[in-house]
Amino acid sequence: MAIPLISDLLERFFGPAEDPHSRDDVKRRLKIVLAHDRLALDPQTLEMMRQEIIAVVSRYVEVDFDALEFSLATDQRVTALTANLPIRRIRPLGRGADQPISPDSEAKKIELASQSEILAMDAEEAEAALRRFEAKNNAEGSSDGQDPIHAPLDIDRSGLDEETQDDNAALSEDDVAAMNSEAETSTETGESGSEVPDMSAPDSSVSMKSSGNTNSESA
Amino acid sequence: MSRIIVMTSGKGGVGKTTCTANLGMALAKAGQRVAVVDADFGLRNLDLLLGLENRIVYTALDVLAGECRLDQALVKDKRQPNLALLPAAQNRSKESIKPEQMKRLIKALTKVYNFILIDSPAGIEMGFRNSIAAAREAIIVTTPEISAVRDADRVIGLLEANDIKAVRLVINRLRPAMVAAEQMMSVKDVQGILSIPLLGVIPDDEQVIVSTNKGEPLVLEEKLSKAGIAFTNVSQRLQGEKVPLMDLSIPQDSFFTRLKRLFGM
Amino acid sequence: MVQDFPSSNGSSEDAPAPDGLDFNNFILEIEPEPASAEAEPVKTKPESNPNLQVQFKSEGGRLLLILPPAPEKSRNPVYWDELRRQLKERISGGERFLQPHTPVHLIARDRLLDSQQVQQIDALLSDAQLPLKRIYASRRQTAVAAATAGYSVEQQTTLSHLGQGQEASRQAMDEPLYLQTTLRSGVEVRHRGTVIVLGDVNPGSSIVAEGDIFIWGHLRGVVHAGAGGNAQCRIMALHMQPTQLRIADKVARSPDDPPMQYQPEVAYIGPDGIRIALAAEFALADLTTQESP
Ligand SMILES: Nc1ncnc2c1ncn2[C@@H]1O[C@H](COP(=O)(O)OP(=O)(O)O)[C@@H](O)[C@H]1O
Ligand SMILES: [Mg+2]
Repeated sequence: MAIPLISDLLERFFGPAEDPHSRDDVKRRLKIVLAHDRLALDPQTLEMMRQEIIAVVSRYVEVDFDALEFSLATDQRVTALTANLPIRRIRPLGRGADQPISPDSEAKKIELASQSEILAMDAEEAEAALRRFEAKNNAEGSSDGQDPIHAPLDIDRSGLDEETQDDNAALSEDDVAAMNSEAETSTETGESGSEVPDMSAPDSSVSMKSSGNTNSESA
Repeated sequence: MSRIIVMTSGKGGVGKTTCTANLGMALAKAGQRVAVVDADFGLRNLDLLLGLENRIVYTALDVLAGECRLDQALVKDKRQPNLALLPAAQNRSKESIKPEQMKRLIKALTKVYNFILIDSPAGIEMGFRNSIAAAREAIIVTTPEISAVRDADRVIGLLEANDIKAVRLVINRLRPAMVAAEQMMSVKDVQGILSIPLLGVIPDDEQVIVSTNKGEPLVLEEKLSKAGIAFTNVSQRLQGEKVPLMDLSIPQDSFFTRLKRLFGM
Repeated sequence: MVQDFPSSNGSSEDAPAPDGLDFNNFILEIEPEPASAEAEPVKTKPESNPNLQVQFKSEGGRLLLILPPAPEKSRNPVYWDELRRQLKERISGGERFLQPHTPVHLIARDRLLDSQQVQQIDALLSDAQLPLKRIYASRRQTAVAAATAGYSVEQQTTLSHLGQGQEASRQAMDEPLYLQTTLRSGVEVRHRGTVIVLGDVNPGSSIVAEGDIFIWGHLRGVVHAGAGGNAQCRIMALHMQPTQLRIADKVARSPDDPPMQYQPEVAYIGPDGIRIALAAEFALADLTTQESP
């Protein structure tokens, strides 16, 4: 670290008049354009992806929207998308996943959500359910074997668990208000929900509809 | 089995043709039988760099049209009989030939020549596709400039998609003084970004222009210039020899650039 | 940092040609185009005016021997003796494309040939090791005579099978083409007659003319006069510095050490290929030799 400083100093006194950083500049610019070129992603797709990621994450945690960072970087011909989403706090339990906490900005993002985003949420939800299921099984068995990385997450999830049950129900009720025919099936599923979350298709289709309705409502 | 190598870059003016002429000549000098193929239909230049422009009677198009045999179209180099040029037509567009036809030409050449170097046109359209159609290896020529490296990267991706696995890099027109002054990307920078094996580095050398004007590749000179040595080294590496990268550092360092190097810059 | 590559492909010392071919003298042909493309017409360059003389023409790996039309119908009749002389001259003159063992197709057109004459042609051809493969004739008598002499024959009425170029070249030359422009790289001018350019002909451009070529400017490109085979054609330029000159079937390139100063010059076919003379001197020589037989 000290060496660049010395050279900086030297440069400042005697160095060339030209911009001393043009080499670093060009490398940085090049890395960015290459990452985009290689992915062949157009800006719209990228923006959509960004919004979807935020939307999904926002369902579980409250992120700091001012400090979000998304970047594509390439190394050894492999391109990685890095998302830096500073978390303000874990969402208070009992809040509906689709009900934004930081009302204004977040609501907008979700309004913009596309069909593909909805599908993505769905998958996420399904996964969450699977994890819940696993968590339960684990809790019933011995919890010794749990690895330290998963342990804290499991605690969170078990907390979410019961709420999610209600969650579905609550959403379904919203649906009833909005659109009766749809709501009927969902209410049914929601109420008939057993202890173990159901992974079957009806369930997921319900949640898909509900988020879709959220959109059309606000539109 | 003959080696069929396409010289390509995406961007124009980075030195594909210069490299093809010099590599071809250097390989021929080393005893290899070399055919250089000008795939730049409409903007041919390889003949000029080799000084063979006034010996062309037939072009690849005449061969394809059945107006002459392939051996009649090949222009043999008087100075170096191991080298032959298959000229492109100057007055046709790049669309006048199809990849399948290129393959037939190259396939016939493999019966006689060990090395077939194909000088690709700039761009990634039909002319490029023709030039890579028959190739089994590729040499990417780039300069340490942002636009050239970007285009090179695009082309590397296309080559990979076309199953050309052996893709190697030649960095042309490097200016060590500028690199030392942090104004130009270094060899390491460029190679690090493109991440393909490095075949060689050619310094920016005004002798290149002199040799182009004379129609006499640098590697033919009695006392080789820096670029001439670099091209010879590339040809040796291409033949499997281990040749260290030449020292391109500037001889008369200014005091402060030397100081900087001492500091590990 | 430098990648090493396996020297997989033979020794670098003295690489033999992959097939053990004679590297200094080989014939290389590309594979024929796949059958699908067969419908395309055979493209041929316009050849010399077939009304005047016997001519050879290579087409798709075979050789066409095209005879002048029947003397009784031609303005410049070529009778049998003259025809034989021309043929002999052509064969002994070592036409560039007369590769031994190339099958020859004789295009007799509307000439009357008896079987003896056909045999004489065959004999002349076999002196050059050229096998007579087939005879095309539009006269029934000729076809019958050739067939009785044991040759395979095809009777046909026109020359159209030879492609458009051939068909076109049966007509007289076109009016001279007058261009007031600079011909730049990539431009090719083809004309069935004489071409006159008021401007420069740059490197990378070319002119192919069946007649003479006059350049009132710098000639630096490739020009081909008498592209139809007429060896009498000339190329004249104020500043003669061509990439390549061609007259009829002869090719020449400019000398490696160009002259210090340029004067108007004329290129023509001399006894040993294309020669260049100062325009001022050529004019005299020209006048004295023009009428000689
Ligand atoms: N190492 C070099 N040093 C100096 N000039 C060079 C070098 N390599 C190429 N050039 C110049 O760059 C120009 C473009 O080179 P060329 O080989 O025609 O590029 P390409 O075939 O990629 O379009 C030419 O004028 C050539 O003289
Ligand atoms: Mg080029």
